[in-house]
Amino acid sequence: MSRPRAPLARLAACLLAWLARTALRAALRLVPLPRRRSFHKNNNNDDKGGRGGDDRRNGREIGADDVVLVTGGGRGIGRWLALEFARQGAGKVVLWGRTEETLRTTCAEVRQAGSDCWYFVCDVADRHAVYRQAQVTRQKVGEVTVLVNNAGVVAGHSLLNIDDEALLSTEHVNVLGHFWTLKAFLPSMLSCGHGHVVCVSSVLALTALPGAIDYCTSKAAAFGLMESLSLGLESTPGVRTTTVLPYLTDTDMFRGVKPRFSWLFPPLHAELVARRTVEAVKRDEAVVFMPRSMVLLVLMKSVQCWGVPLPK
Amino acid sequence: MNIAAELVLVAFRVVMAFVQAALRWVFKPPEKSVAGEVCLVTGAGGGLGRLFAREFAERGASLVLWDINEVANEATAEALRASGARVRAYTCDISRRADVYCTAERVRAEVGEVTVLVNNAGVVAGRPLLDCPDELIERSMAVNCHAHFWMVKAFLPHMLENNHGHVVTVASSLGLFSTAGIEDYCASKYGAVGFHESLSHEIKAIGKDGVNTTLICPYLVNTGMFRGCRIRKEIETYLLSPLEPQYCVHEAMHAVLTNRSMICTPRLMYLVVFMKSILPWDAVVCIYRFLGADKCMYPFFAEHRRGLNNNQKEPWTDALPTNPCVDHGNADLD
Repeated sequence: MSRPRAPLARLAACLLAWLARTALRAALRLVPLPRRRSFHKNNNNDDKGGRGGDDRRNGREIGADDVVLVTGGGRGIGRWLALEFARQGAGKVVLWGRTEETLRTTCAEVRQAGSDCWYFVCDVADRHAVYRQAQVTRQKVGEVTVLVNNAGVVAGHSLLNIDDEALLSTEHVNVLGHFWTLKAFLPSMLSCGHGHVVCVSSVLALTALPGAIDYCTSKAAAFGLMESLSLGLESTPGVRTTTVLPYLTDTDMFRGVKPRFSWLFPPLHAELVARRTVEAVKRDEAVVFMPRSMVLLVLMKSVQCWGVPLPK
Repeated sequence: MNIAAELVLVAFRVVMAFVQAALRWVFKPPEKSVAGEVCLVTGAGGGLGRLFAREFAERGASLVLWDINEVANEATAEALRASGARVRAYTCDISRRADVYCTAERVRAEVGEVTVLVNNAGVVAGRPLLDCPDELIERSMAVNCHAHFWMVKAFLPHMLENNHGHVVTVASSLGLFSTAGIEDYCASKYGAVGFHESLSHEIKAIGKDGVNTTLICPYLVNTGMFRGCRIRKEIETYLLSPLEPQYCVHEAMHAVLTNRSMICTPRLMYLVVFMKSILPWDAVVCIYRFLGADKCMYPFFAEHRRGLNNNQKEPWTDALPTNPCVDHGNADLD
């Protein structure tokens, strides 16, 4: 192949080649992506939690000293998250949920996958229950190092047909529950100087749909909470956050929903969502869309704020 | 219709939407008249609510003012009555849905059906998450987000029946992007934005094009609610200073009266929203740090704490208004 003569053309060719290589690597994930750089200079490199400044740049490994708590861990994405964390080597997994039967079953599966597992019946909408069970968890298991706020419900009616109690229940579980669990577990993460908070939001947080107004509102609020929290935690490099925004997932929650062009955007497998989430925790990714193409939807919608009412 | 044809049609409509928006920007559309409409403003006791009420009154609308603070609400009502407007004031705690439904019934009986609903009331806890009492977190969510559910459920059915109405949600730019330490407010405003968008989609889905919605996302407004909040000095001086309430309301009114679906004040906010949706998180953090926007609330927290240290009452200990719709029984007999 003949080399382009003009220097500008050479530069352009190099740039294009670099872009193509990066895009290919990102797409195929054959080579690990560049590690997350911290913009914050940590002047006091204290090793309180046994994790020094290096871990900020290299992501984090899930290890035997990790205590992972998954709310709504009995079924759906929560169950797969618990299993995936166990497979990745988490020492202890704690499941919180409302239905003891599913919690028990999942607990047994997690133990088979290799981690110690406990379950506690706890409705995250009830803050007194959250604080009580947090105390029990701390005593029986230990300090939580990875908090996964996954518990979620949906009422699934249009606003005027929705029962007010169901509406409030969605808000309390999907948003206020996150506040209570954070208040229960974040202080110990901050004092140890290491920890990770995961929030399972939804792409509906940023691109609303009719028919699930309670869910969209609550997921948007959870996303706002995590963004504000993440910015605050930037000054504590050991404590990280990850917010995942999956598209429609094949769990019971949205069973029966048939989006248009489902051949183009089929529902995600819950196991895949869980795997990608744990990967994001290990890589320290702050915001994860699943699938990545959903970013385009959010981008398109951000144009709407210029007064362009995009067609339905 | 097959997918290829529909794709072409959708692409055409998207392009037309851009063209329409550009034309609207150049040839400003005429403002609709609200003379004779019944306009309900929550949080009318202060700040933006009072200005919204005045703007609507100047244009001939009948006003219904709701606020938890009876004194401030009445002051607004008196000022408007003095200029000849038809005004009714109601004291209502919109965080309680029973209060909302009950007061809505009274409004329907005493004034008539509301055709313009301005969900403006808002509170802020003023403390970072771990320092914030649970009651304040619940209150922020209840007033800034959940109250919108009850208000819209109370007044939207009639608007849909007549295919005529307008729902205005006064959120905040902190509903589109966030800052550190204000988790309760950000969560509630993001929720309000998500609610508004979902509501707009629901109204469009049932084809009621006579019912309009407008989302208002102002940047920091000089009402005293966030007194002390400060970004980087140079940016604040030359690019992004706190807004005057009058300017904010003027822009918002223009958006409402031209049936615009959303407005950010100032226009620079559009760029911020757009950039946030394309930039990776690390880049967003980097830019926030440069602007001083990541820690802009910390001086606000300090001022808030100083205010409380000077024996200023905790906001959530204010006596809530007695609910006129609840039978308190014969308390006098105790």
